[in-house]
Amino acid sequence: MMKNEDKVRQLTQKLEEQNDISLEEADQIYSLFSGNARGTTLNPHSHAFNDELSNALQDWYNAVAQKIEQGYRGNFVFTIVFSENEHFNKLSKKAQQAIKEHGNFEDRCDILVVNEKTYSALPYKHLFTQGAGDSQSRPYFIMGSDRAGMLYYPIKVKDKTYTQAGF
Amino acid sequence: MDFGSPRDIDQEVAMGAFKVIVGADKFMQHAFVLENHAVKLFTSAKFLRHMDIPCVAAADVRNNKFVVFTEKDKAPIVKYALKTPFEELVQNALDKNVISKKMAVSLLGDERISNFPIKEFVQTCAEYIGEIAQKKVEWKTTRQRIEGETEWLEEIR
Repeated sequence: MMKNEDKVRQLTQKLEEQNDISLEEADQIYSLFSGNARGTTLNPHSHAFNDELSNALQDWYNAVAQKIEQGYRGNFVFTIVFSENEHFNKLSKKAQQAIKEHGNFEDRCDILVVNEKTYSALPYKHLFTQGAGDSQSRPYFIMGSDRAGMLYYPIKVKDKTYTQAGF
Repeated sequence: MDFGSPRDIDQEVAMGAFKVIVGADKFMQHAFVLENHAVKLFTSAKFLRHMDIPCVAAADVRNNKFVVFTEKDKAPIVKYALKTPFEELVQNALDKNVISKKMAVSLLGDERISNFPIKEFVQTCAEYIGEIAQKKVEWKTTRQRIEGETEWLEEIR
């Protein structure tokens, strides 16, 4: 089985050559920032810290930043993570900066709030959580994401694919 | 509908406005120190709520950018509502004794106002905007219908 750092390097090369990666590959990179990695492979203070993986990810995000600056958009945008974790942010800092300077609202939107009427029509209700209100409040629902491109990330429900922007 | 502002909108204020739009307005119970742009934001939010317009509020919180999407057929009424001059809303609230003259001056002068009766103010504004916007939409629809009719041309001939 290929090591994560080798896979990231391979995808960096693919991005540089083909200007995008598949959605599954973008999800693979995103999954490297799991809660487990926070305490182990991507935690510089841990014995399990993987320096090679951090270097590979930094190179990946540098390539992502370059593509955004050149005006490209695609699945690679979904790998940009806005985390509260200092090391995660350090790795993706250039890409975060690029999307901030060159991206648009659709790239950067991170929170959606819908009223009950809209919620009832949503085919992907499971992505929303009910907001906290008091007894006088009407129900409202929130969806948030720490990934860039939330508005155009494909959401598969049964045999159909939706995007927030399209809906 | 773009709620973005040249100046940074306080995240708490924007999320508060979002909650007004979707019907959770418990924050209104608190006394706020508000500025002109926040009052405008809450007024637009309350109007959407008042008209029960289905909508999605979206935010780029890190960059203080806030947008509300609504159904296409509801867009004209929302556009009319947003075009209503703020001065007109303040005058209406003053006429109805919702705010004092001193508050009206502070509000138009973009000064910070403590203990502003935000709940009453936005409710009055929402009702006023709703009436005006509804009339404008009806007038436009009637005009388009009459212009589309050919009978009156025959009468003139």
